[in-house]
Amino acid sequence: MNLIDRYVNAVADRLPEKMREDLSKEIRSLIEDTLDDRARQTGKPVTDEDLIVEVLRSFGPPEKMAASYLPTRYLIGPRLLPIFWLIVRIGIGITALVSIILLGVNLGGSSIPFSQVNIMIGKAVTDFCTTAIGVFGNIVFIFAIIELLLPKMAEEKGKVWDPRSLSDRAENDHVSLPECIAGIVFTLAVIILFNFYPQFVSIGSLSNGVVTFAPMLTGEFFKYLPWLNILWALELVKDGLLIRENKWTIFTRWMDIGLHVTGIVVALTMAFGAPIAALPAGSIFASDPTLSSFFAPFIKGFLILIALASAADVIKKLYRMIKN
Amino acid sequence: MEQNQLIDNMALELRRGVIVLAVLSQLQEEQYGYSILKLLAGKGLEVDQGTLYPLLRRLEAQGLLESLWRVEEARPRRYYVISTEGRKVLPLLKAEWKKLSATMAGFVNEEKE
Repeated sequence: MNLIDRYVNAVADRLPEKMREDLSKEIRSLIEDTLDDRARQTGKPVTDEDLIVEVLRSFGPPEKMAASYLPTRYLIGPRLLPIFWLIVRIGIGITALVSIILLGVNLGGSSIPFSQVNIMIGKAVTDFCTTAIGVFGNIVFIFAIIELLLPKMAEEKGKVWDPRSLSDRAENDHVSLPECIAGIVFTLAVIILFNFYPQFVSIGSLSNGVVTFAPMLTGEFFKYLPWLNILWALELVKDGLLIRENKWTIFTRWMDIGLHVTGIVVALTMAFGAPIAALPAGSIFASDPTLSSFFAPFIKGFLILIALASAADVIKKLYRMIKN
Repeated sequence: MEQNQLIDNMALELRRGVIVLAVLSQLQEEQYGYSILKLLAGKGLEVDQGTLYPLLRRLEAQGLLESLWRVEEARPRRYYVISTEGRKVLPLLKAEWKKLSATMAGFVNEEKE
């Protein structure tokens, strides 16, 4: 097989089957015409290998030649890209959440040798990576099929695009989608943890090479749980609204401030009320007097710190609202 | 990117913009791919093969050109010629070009002054 045959075949391999035969024939004809002309100009025979190489080089690499006959194609084009990334974030976020819960169940559900903890965490990370790659691959596959099947863009079909349909979102109203998704995933994780697996909020102790976990939350904490659930549910509603509207509105801004203020009230009530967490009786930590004396003020201080950080956030948000 | 390469790329883009008009205007009579390339080059418009040949196929797909295979010198060649639709489009493109050319001449002359 001579160089021209090899070149034409290499181009043909990169073309859709329906145009392969016709285009191969045409490209061969074009190469031979060019070769004839160059041979006349240089006085070399058309079989001269250097001349053939020069002509083929002027046509460019086969992949470039084939690409020039094909329209630009996207695996996932600009129409689908924003929704694609949204689905990827949700998919990976849910995968991460499930991995964390499974790891928590595995670590807290049974007494395991301390030496096994690192291995279990490593396995959880590996499992997460494998599943995340699978999730990503499946989403790409589905979107690539949708891209292929989607009809031509509305504009191409003659539908007039109206610039007024663009979002009137101001820079200050910008919503960070990843933040919203992360917020939803985190809130769901917290709801599941405190409602279904409160025993995982525990303290571990090592004894004879075995790690055991003892729950820390007191009965007092569960008196606040219904109120916390309402707050977390409203937080989910707020994040959902932000994703749907794709911008901050007056309603969502006030809702956010209201949730912050309520959160501050609940945190301070918990801080100054009866202890919501305690060192498990009988654990080696409870028997340590220094640790025991520091634990309650630590929890109280932590709750006050949350309330202060939240208050600072409210002030910042209010200042921005007034300024704008 | 070096300045020479930058200018070469920009010149290539400029030429690409006018190739359709050049090709349609030169295909009142049947021509095959390489002969079109030579015809344009002979009149001062050097066009890259990788640009011209796919363009001929696209213009045919748009209905502005027609093509047929013919065997000459024991070799099959695809001949292109302007179609009826192409003949309708050509004068409109020419008018556009004249307007654009006049406008650009104004810009370029302003620069000289």
